Parts: sequence; structure tokens; C-alpha cells
Amino acid sequence: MPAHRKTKKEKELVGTLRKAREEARTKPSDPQSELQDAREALEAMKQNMRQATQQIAEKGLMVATMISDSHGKFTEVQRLNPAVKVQREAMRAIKSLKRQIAELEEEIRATPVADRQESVIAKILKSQEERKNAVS
Amino acid sequence: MLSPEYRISEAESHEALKIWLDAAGYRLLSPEEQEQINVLMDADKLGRWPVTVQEVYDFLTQENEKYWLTHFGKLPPQ
Repeated sequence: MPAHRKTKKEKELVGTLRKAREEARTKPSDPQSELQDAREALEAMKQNMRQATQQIAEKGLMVATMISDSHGKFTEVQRLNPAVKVQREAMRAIKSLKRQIAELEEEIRATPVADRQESVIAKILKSQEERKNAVS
Repeated sequence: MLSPEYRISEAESHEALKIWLDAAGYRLLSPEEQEQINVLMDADKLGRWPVTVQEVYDFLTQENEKYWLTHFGKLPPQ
């Protein structure tokens, strides 16, 4: 899978958009819950990135590590801090998640207003809260 | 009464289950609201999302018919 997938708009701009392929692409079954999941994942990735950045700031780009040679003798060598890899992966994931969130938001906006329904759960929770308050 | 076209999402069905699990809170609901919670929870049985209320009712009717045919050899009385 390519690291960077162009959005529909990007493809339109460079003239490589294939409509049939766009239509065949499966749409998420429930954009609202997909959006919520994507936002949670983005927050988790931002946390990973913060921790990795903090680790690099504390220990530096290179870290000392012990390796053993074929005679079992240990020597100290400098290696790239593993947090750099975590940071790079997190940056890539953040970029991809932001794109996904933008696409889902666009899809939700494109949904006709008539299709947007008021959540029955929200109504039930509200009336439940009112009854709880009335009892207490 | 829920509209037959009302679309139930996975998140909403899970929320309904949470409300049902809270016995004290569930008892505070009106019979109609309790019925709505049951439908939202039953939507999970279809194994796909989103589903409409009508699809849930159809599924439950089919399941009931299967049960009657297996156990009593006839369709349930109308």
C-alpha cells in the first residue's frame, strides 16, 4: 500500500482521477462512529509523538548501547535512538488520520439534511436525566 | 414510536445496551422508551451497520417464525 494516497481533489487537480474507481470505493458504513474512532486514534498518535519527542530531547538523537561480538565481548556503540522511529511512524499516522478525518467530515457535510436524524438515545438520556432529577 | 426508516448505528446500539445494563436507570424510562432501547439492542443481531428499525422488526419476525416452525410445526398466530 502506498504511504501517500492522493485525495479525490488532488487527483482531479493532476488529472488522474478515475471516476469508476472512486464510485467503487467502499464508503464507511457509519461516518459518525468512524469519525469518532479516527479522532481517538489521532489523539493516541499525538500522545506517542509527544512521548517520543520528549525522549529524544532527554537522551539525544544517538544513544549508547552494548553489543557483543562473536567472542562474546561487549562493546559500547552509538545507535540511533529508537524513539526516532516511533516519532516518524507517529507523524506518518497523524498525517494520514488528519486526511481521513477531513474526508469523513466532508462526507457528513455532504449528507442531505433530511438524512441527519436526531439521535433517539440522546432523547432517552435527556428524559432519564429529568426523571432522575425529579426523584432526587 | 420509532420511525421504520430510523437508521441505527453501532454506537447507538452499544449506548442502548449500557442503558439497559443500568437497571435502576432503565426502570426510570417509560414503556415506550424501554421498547425503543430493546429495538436498538436487537439491531446488533443483524451483524451489520447501520440498520433501519424496519429491518430489525423484519429480522425478529423471521426469527419468531423459524422458532414456531421448529418447535410447533406451524407459523405463529397473527
